[in-house]
Order: sequence, then structure tokens, then C-alpha cells
Amino acid sequence: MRKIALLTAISVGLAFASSCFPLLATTVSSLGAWSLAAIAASGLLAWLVSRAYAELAGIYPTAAGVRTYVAQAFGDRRGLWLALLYLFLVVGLGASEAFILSRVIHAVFPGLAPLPVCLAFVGLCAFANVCGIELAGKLQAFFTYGMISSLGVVALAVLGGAPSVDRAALAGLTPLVSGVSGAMFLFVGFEWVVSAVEEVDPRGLALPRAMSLSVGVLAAIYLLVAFALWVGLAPADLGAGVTQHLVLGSRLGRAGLYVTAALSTAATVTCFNGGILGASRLCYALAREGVLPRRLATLSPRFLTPWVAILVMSAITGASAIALSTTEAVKVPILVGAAIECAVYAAVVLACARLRQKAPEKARPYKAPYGQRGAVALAVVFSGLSLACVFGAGEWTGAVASVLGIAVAATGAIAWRRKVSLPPQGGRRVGVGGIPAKEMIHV
Amino acid sequence: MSETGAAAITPSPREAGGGPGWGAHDAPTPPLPTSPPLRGGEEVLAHVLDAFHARVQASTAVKKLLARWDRLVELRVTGGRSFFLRSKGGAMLPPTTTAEGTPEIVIGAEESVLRGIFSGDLNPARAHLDGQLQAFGSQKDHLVLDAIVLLIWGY
Repeated sequence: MRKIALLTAISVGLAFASSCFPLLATTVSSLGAWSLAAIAASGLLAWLVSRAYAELAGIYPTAAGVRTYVAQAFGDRRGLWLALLYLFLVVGLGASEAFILSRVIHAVFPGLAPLPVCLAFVGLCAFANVCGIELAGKLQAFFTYGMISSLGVVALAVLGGAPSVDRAALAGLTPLVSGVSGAMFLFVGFEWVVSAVEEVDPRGLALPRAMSLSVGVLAAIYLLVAFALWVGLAPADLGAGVTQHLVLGSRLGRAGLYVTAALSTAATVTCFNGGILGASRLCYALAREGVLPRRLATLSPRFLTPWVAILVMSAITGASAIALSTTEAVKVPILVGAAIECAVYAAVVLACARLRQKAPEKARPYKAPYGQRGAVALAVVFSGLSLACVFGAGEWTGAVASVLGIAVAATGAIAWRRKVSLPPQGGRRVGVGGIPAKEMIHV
Repeated sequence: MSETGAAAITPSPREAGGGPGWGAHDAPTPPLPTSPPLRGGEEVLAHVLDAFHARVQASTAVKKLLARWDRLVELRVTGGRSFFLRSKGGAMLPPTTTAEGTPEIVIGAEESVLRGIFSGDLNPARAHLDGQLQAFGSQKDHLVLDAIVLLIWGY
């Protein structure tokens, strides 16, 4: 039970981010009450894909996650490609989180300029990660559950106050598909909990329930906040900026504003920190494989952390956050992230089905409740949603398509041009590209 | 096969004086009461771990890494017994078949996979990605263990 609670908290903490608030607000703005249907539908889809993750994590309880699942099902390069796309996703998500946090802080303390706050936050997180500072499991769980329940209280208080505003009009069903595809982003990251299986749940028995609970908790809180946004905010407030949740909180007075800002900060810290931590370890692993420069496989002898990978990931995220601050195009990384995530989900459900044929002898502590046809149908749905993220982006379609195209092409080129791979057996006692092994890691 | 593999460096774990040894090879010490005799493959693995331990002890870089890493690692052979490696005070103690305390890291694999990894013939990262090797414990510990193998074998 404790394992389930901890895994659920990790999963919720990774998915629940500040960028969810403006996304919820714009979904409510464009769909009105239909946004609740869009969130429920995306929650159902997230639950269905979580079944595939649970089955695969039972077969391969590894922190490498998607990298291993897809590699086992469809080959190493495809697995590597998706892992690299995940890195791209984390950078985009991290940049949007830092950007939104800086706006939140600026809204509460107007004297603090957003950009320095943004960069200071990225720097602070990088420092904490290099020093190996991590929240203990129980504290992390307490923190996450406290954050979610506090947000629920704020939303209920707004609903209970019954403010009289002009509610967003009930839109037609046409924007529902793009609403669902965008709403998928709300759940991005819940599945990264599979990387904790080796640490928390070696037998993989708690993960299926934990992921179900996580999706349920996330869906419930998003539905509640979306409803509060629909009831509590006028259409003009819903579509403007990235701090709609602060406007919602301010309906409860100054205290409500501060509480909402604190919750938003907490959401960013848990999500951003988890993302950078996971991405830097993935960077380290890819550098070990020879996919990324070998310098990234450098461990700090003092803190035993991959400090070069952490600093590089943080620097790229910081630079992306600066770009967002100057362009205000925060919707672009969010939609690119949703498109990538939908594609990854499609690959995962197909990998699940493929491995049932390819490796039927493998022990499966859990089995997803759908077969080959169900998996293919889900993959088609996720592929369609991935496309909808791009072509339903309105004025941002060109930017989203360009960034996504660059991401897919760059990561694909790295995955397919890779000449050096891990020697499966035997092989040379040298590192990548003839570099002596002793120089590959610097301690 | 490694040209610098297990046979090149063969100090006995008991000579290093670090707790109970294998019992089945290198005759004098009998097996512990709780420790059944090693089977053929396990005996080979025991020798491989001896050699690995000697390499660790000979590496300044690895010792630097171990300086802040006191851990007990269990190597669990699928369908067989376990071996233990303990790092303490900047050194790795000789491998044993019994250990006090709960291991912080558990590495589970077939005997042949473990033998390949610790003799430098099989890449642990590859084995992990291929699902041949399961490693339970904190990700930070995984990193350090991976770094030790990298420093010893070069990949």
C-alpha cells in the first residue's frame, strides 16, 4: 500500500505542472463546458496507455523505460529515437515551466523582473541536482498530496463562492478533437514513474494500481480546476496570458492569490526537477552508449551525480526559456510536447502488442486489458491526436510544425547515423571512437 | 574473450581477509553452514568476482569513486544463489556468499550474464537494455555501479 501511495505521488508530481493551468484555461476558453468532456476523454486515453506501460514495466523493470520497450519490440534505433525525442520534450517542458513560474512570481511580486527569476530558478535547480539534493520518498509524497489537496480546496472555494461572471459560451463539438489532443499534455509525465520501478517496486506489482490512481487523481483535479475556471473566470480572462490560475485564486482575496502562487511554484519545482533529473541521467546513459558526446558521461566524485549532463541540460533549458521570454510563444513547446507524447504513446501500445507475439514466454505480472486490435486502434487514435496537436494549433501551426519537424529530423539523424554502439559481447577495451576507456569518465 | 580477463589477476578473497570466502574453490576454508557448496557455473563466477575485486582494488580512479559510496551489492543468480560485494571506506571488500545487512542494490541475472559482465565480456548497459539484467536500487547507485564497470572494463 505504501509503495502504491509513493508511486502514485511520484507519478502525479511528475505530471502536474504550472503549464497545466494556462492549458486548462485555453481549453475552457475554446470549448466551454465541453472542456470537461475533453479532459475526461484524455484521462481515459491516458489510463488505457498506462495499462501498456504497466505490462511492459512488468516484463522489463528498467529505468530505461520506453527506450527498452520499443527497442525490444521494434529494434534498437527506434527505441533510441524515442528516447532522444523524450529529451527534446523535457527541454521544452522545462523551458515552459520556468517561463510560467517567472510570470507567476512577477504577478505576485511586480518588482521582480521575469527573466532573472526564470534564470535563477533554472540555476538553482541545476545546483540542487549537481549536489544530489533529492526529496526523500515520504516527504515527496506528502508534498505532492498536500499540493493537490490544497488546489482542490481552492477550486472548491471558488465554486462555493459562486461568483457572477459571464461564463464562457458552450462551443460546438468541432474543436473537441484539438481540445482532447491538447488536454493529453495535462497527463504528460505520469508514465515517467516507470523509471522508479527498480527503486520502489522491483516485482512490478504496485505499478499498475499506482498508475491507475495517478491518472484518476490527475483527471479529478483537472476536472475540478477546469470547472472552477469555467465558473469563476470571464472569457476575456480565460484566454489571456499564462497566469489564469492566479486570477482564479485572487477571487478568494489576497490570501487566495498567494496560496495559488505557492501551489504553482510547488508544481513547477516537482515537475521541473524530476524532468531535469531524469533527462540528465538519460543523457549520461546515451553518452555511455556513444550516442551523445562522451563528456556527458562524467560523474562528480563528491556528489556522485552526472554533473556535466545536468549542467548541459539546464543550460539548454535556460536558453529555451530565454527564447520563450522574448517570443511569448509558450503554446509552441506545450503543443510540440503533446504531439511527441501522443506519438510515444502510440509506439508504446504497439510495442506492448508486438512483444506479446515476439516474447510470449516472458513473465507478465500484469496484462493490459486489450489485445492486438485494441492496441492498433489506440495507436491510430494517438497518431491522430499527435497530428491534431500540430494542425489544430491555429496561429501557431507553422511554428509547432517547424519545431516538431526539426526535433524529429535531428533526433532521427542521430539515432540512424550512430556508428558506435555498445559492444554486445567481447569487443575492444577502448571507449567511443578510439578514446581510451579511462578518459571516458572523469572522476 | 578478454585478454585481461579473470585469469590474469587471481588473488584469493580470503587472502585479502574480508569475511567468508567461497568455500568451494581454493580449498582451505569450508563453506558456511548457511552457504551450500557452489555449483560449477557459480564457482566460475566466484573466480570472476575475485578477479574483478582485484581490479577494483588496483584502480585509483575507482577507489576515488568508492570513497563516498559505502554500499552492499547483492548479485542474485537467477534460480541460484547470491554473491555479495561491499564497498566500505573507499575500498571494495572481497566478494562473499553471505552478508550482514540489507543490500542497497540487487543485481539479478543468469549466471552466464553476471559472469560476462564481471569478466568484461558483456556490456552491462547493453544487458540492461536487453532485459537480461535487472538492477534494483536507487538510480544514483546504478550510476556509480555503472561507472565502476566502465572504469574497470572501458565500456
